[in-house]
Amino acid sequence: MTAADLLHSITSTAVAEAARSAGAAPAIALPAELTIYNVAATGALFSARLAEGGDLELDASAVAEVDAAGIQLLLAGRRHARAWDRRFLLHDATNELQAALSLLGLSFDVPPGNPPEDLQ
Amino acid sequence: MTSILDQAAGTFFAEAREMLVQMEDCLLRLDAEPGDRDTLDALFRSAHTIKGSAGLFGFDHVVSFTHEVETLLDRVRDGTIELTAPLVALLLRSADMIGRLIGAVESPAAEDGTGAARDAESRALLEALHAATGTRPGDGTTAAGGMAGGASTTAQATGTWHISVRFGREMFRNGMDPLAFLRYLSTLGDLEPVVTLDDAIPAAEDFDPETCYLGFEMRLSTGASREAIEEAFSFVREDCDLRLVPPGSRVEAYLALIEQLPEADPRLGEILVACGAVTRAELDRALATQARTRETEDVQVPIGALLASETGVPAQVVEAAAARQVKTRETRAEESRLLRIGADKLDGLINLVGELVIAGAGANLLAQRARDRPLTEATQTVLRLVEDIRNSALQLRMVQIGETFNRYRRVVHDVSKSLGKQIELTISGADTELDKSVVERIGDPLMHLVRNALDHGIEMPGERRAAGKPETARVSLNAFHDSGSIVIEVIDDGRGLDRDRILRKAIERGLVEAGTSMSDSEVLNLVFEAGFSTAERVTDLSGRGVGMDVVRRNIEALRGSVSLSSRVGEGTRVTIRLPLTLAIIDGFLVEVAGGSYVLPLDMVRECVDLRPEAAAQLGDAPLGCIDLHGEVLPVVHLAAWFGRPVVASGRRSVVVVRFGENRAGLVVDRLLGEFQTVIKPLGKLFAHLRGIGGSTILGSGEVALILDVPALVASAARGAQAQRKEEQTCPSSP
Repeated sequence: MTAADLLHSITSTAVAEAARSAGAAPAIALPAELTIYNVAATGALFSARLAEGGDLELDASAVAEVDAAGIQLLLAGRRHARAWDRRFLLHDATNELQAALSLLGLSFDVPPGNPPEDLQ
Repeated sequence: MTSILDQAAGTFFAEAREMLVQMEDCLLRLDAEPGDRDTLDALFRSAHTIKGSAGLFGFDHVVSFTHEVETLLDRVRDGTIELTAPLVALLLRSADMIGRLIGAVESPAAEDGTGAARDAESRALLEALHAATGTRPGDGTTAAGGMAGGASTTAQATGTWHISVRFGREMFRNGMDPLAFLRYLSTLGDLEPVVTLDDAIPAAEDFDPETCYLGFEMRLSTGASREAIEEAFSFVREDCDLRLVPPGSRVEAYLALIEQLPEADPRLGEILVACGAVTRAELDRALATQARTRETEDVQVPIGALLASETGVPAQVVEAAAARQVKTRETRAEESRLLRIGADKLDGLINLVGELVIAGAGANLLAQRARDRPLTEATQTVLRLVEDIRNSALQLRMVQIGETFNRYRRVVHDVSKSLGKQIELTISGADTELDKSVVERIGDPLMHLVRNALDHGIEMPGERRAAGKPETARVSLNAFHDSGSIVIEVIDDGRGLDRDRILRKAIERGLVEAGTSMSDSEVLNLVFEAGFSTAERVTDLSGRGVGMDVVRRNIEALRGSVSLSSRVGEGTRVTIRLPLTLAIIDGFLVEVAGGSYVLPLDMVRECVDLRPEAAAQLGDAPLGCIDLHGEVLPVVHLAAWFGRPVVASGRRSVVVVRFGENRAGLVVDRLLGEFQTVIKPLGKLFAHLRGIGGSTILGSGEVALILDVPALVASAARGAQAQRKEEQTCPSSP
């Protein structure tokens, strides 16, 4: 683990901790199948959270299967969170999710608070 | 797996099976006439399609095995390897193996314990394929078990392609997963880097998670050809925007790409730089040049011209390629006129049509009772239309029997090789159509009959020469329509069946008593009796433990019949008669002792009155004979046969039925006329009943039984035999 990673994991834990202590809603748990069959339901959770004024904090520890629709949902969540000026956090990505992300050249592994590394 | 994916995989399995049939067909044709270019190309395409589709679904075993087959075929195509008979045999076995590998993916549960054997066999086949191709496993061009070679059909140096793709909005909903395409591409070479474009994702309120907004820019280092890369997207060609920039293209090619793509130019420029397709300096310079050109000339260089000058492809080649593309598109349009429909949907439709027939008959009956002439006419029009719908609906299920017949070409090929016999298979009436469910279920019995003919019927060439027959034996499969049934014949010109041997064996096995007088045909057809098949008949070829009695039972389960005729030294002919459909028939309704019964209309020849003197002679006996146009006609007195009270007075009729070679009369109380009959199967409880084929519901809601005429007459004939023993009356079988 590099120093940056370490720093990131510390800060992201700290921020999550801070959010929780401030009475923010708990992280949204992503379903085991982050696929076309679940994106509508999961997407509704995202919208509801944003509408409530909360950050998009996602717990990806259960994701065992992911397809492009699932990845797209995460990308949309990140875009929408940014548009609403909220934070987008994804933690505990499983190997399955990591593999899909790296195939697509994507990374959500960015220090919270900073705009995600992007090409814009 | 989930249902949409299941459906897509189902399409793959169906397609793969078709491709395998085609492969086999091509191989057999090539065996007969080697060097036929079109067939060879078709063969190659089949293998290639299987590999490409299997790759999409990630069925790696299928892909890697098929890849080896494809490599070998490629060598044959470019003339480095000659397609010899042993090679055809090897390829046939390889095609079988592909089928088994696919089968293993399709139903993993069905092959417990056979997996290891299959793997060993597949390794052996791979070895043989390598030997034939002239490559060693793992020597770079073909890697055993892996896919290092990918779909590189043309040997090409490795280069880095730029792939730009925007997927259609319906992608996800059509059950396609772009991730799968990328995974497949990454098997063709080194797929890196990939940039995922989420620019098209709309604002939260307009975002639909099930709509695909994604696009990708990626670099693929591979030796694969353009076709091979495009092939990866063949499933979604209509539904995605795919652009390839070949290796070694100059920066202008990327400029053209930027112009064509939907995203803003500067953004794309950045992406291309990020991909490493162009350097920032190149991009800046090219953009500046382009801007200058636009300002000064106000004319844009056409993209095509730019591309052509860039890739250095002569204009004629581009034109030819364009023409071919148009042609491909036309072929695709042709194909899309064929619909693949789930059999259950069709069954659902036919069930509904069946209900419609019954409901229509009910309405018609009510109209007749009400004596309302306009209403009756109206219901009759409806009935006529219903009949048309019924025919069209049934037509949907009709398939040609040719495909089933073609399966036996392979059997004939293999058997003649393994037994050293020379056999020629001729097929006629391959375009004869019959119900799909019948076709599916006739395959196995037919296979058994064909194998029997090959194994037992046909003699060795030497024996044939000695008998003065041509060395090459002939086996024919014929199909044709005959009075509402389809007739399938399996004919061989082999040694024929020995009547005396069969009779001896039948007596040995206690099927008939010694001294019984039987016609030749009766004796020959004893081979269909349960308990006749003996161990000596079950060889590894016609084996499978299926005897002729099982063949007959399977055919009778389809409401069909089977018979056999043979001449010693000249050959054997097995005739199968099957109904055209299992769902709805044109029936002839009769009344017997107050109950309604339906006969298949196609079997009814004529109806005559039962004359009083004949009636008196018949009395209340269940069986008898009458004089019909000066000939003796055996009759079954249905009321008495079914054990119902016989009404001695009143006018009765005889329905003369014909089935195959046989004729018989059925004595009934009243003729009620034609009736569209929806066949409902009898419950399990009544499955053993002989002579009743099913039931149907009349317009009035009453249930009528459908008579299985051949079975009814056969069981009546057996009853008569018993009777004959006691009192030598008139014979009751024709």
